[in-house]
Amino acid sequence: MNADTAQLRFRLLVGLILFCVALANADILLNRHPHIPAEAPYGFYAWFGLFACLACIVLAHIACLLLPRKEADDD
Amino acid sequence: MTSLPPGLLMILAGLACLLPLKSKRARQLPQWLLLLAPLLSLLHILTLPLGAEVTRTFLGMQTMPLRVDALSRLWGLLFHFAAIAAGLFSFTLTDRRQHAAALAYAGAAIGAVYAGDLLTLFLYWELTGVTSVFLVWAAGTRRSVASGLRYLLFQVGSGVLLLAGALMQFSDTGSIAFNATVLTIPGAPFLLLGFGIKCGFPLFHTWLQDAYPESTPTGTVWLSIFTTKLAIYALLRGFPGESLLIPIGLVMAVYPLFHALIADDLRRVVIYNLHNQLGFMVVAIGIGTPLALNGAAAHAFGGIFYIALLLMVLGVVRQQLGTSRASALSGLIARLPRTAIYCAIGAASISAVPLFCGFASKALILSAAAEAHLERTWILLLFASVGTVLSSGVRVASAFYLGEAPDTAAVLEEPPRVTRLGMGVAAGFCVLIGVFPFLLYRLLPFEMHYRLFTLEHLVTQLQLLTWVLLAYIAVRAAGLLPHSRPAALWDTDWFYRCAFPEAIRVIGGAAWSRWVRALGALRRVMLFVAERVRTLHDAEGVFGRTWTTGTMVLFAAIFLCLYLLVYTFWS
Repeated sequence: MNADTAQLRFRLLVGLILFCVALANADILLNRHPHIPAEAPYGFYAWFGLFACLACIVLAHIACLLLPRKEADDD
Repeated sequence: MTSLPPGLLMILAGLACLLPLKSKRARQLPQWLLLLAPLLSLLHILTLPLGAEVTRTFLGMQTMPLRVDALSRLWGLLFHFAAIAAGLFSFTLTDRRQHAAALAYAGAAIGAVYAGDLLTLFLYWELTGVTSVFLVWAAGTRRSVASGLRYLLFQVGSGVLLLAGALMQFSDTGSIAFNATVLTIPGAPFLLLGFGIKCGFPLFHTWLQDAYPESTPTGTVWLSIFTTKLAIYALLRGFPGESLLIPIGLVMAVYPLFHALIADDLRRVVIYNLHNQLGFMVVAIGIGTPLALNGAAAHAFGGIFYIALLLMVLGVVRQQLGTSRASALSGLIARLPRTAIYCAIGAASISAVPLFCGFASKALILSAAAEAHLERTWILLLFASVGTVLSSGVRVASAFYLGEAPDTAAVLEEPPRVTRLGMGVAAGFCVLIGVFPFLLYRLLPFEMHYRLFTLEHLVTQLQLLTWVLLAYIAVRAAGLLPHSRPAALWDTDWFYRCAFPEAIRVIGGAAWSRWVRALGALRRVMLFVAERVRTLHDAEGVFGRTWTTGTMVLFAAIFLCLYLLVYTFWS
């Protein structure tokens, strides 16, 4: 990977982070109408996305440890 | 045109594919039938007016081979559109047996959704199972044969349960009409289980991930369209609002995600996500409000196209590279730029990105759960949405958009134009529904007023998606993704692949050793008896040796005395 590509990737990442932060704070401008209490907290969808993603990955690692399956098992 | 059962044209076209044809031009007939039969069948169902019904009496039962209402019309249209897309995708294939199986399978599924009674439904239901197994076997590998047999067992078992439920309903009510029912009615639990097996209810779902990825690249596309969506239709008609379906659907929505996150074969990953999407629909049917039922129908409609599209894309990759394993794929956009666009559309649709069909349908289900104040259900569905983005959306797209282009001797080229047209039709539906959702909403079985494109919907969905993407990038950069090494997880097929055979071996082994011991003991007893008999009857034995006349006379006298005593005292 050359220097230009690395710089482009860094800029894209910074842009994505800024976009994410801006979106998470868009709740200030929105007049949200939560149907259930769970979605009422500020920036709920942003932090839910973050933590649900991490939870998925952690649970998948745990499942890998508990229920490993070999290719030959399929036969 | 009501005298012609829907789907029959396609079944007949499937049979015509098997005609022994000699000339080169005539041998192309199956390919053209693959395109023409769904089109003609579509024209036929468009002539059927809403509310049309045809009844017949069969063995004293009132059957209804045709019932056209909003629900059957929606599914009829859906199956035809999907068959046209799959037909275009499969057009270049020259294996007429696959064309025959695909057409008959699609025709049977179409016939089933227009069935107004359980007996007609049963006949088409079994026909879908019997015809589709040939698509699994078409791969011709040892694994596909074994998977196909297991698949057939589940499909036939599902049909048998459906028949049992129908007969119980007939004996109780005198009717085999296929309408909404409740579990307290005799036969209804059998119907639910029969539908559930085909729908992939937990513990009965393993045929899905077992058989579908073993089929051919085109066969997997056909298989992904009909079987499970027919089951969703049956649940939607038979058990709307059955609350038991909510926990069942939640397990279906969440559980396959962990398999999808880990599996290496991307076609298997997509099949796991097909299962997870079915979970959303089952939950919505369980909620049972008009919005939820519309959500289930809309999600089935959109889901068919984006799942089929992803499987088409991966089928193209598999045909070209001989593999669809994530560990072997990267940077495919450099070699297959057009296919990469279809991949992006499929990935965006399944991830519910705004302006793609997944967003238009999933929003209905989540809104229905929220409006019904099912907080935990809603949170778990949202969690499942995140898992879907991670497992299918990001992973399949990664194979095209991340990493270096494959350094392979195989020449990678875009598929033929007609194949791309098939992908284009599926992609077109994904975008069309996403941009103009009201086109789909108008077809839904219940009236509703739903505003999809509100600022709140768009912003919250983008919040969710972008933060998932950010978390994924962070975890990937840290090298902590669970699928960084090829792996797989045991599923509930462990019970019948490992536990039961082992139990039979252990229990059977113990029983066999006892049986052998018992036989040994019996043999010893018989040898002992034989030895005693031989001893008594040989030349020196009591009964074998020659007795003297005096001994004989003595015995005769003893017997005469005994007789005299008996005669005296007995009388």
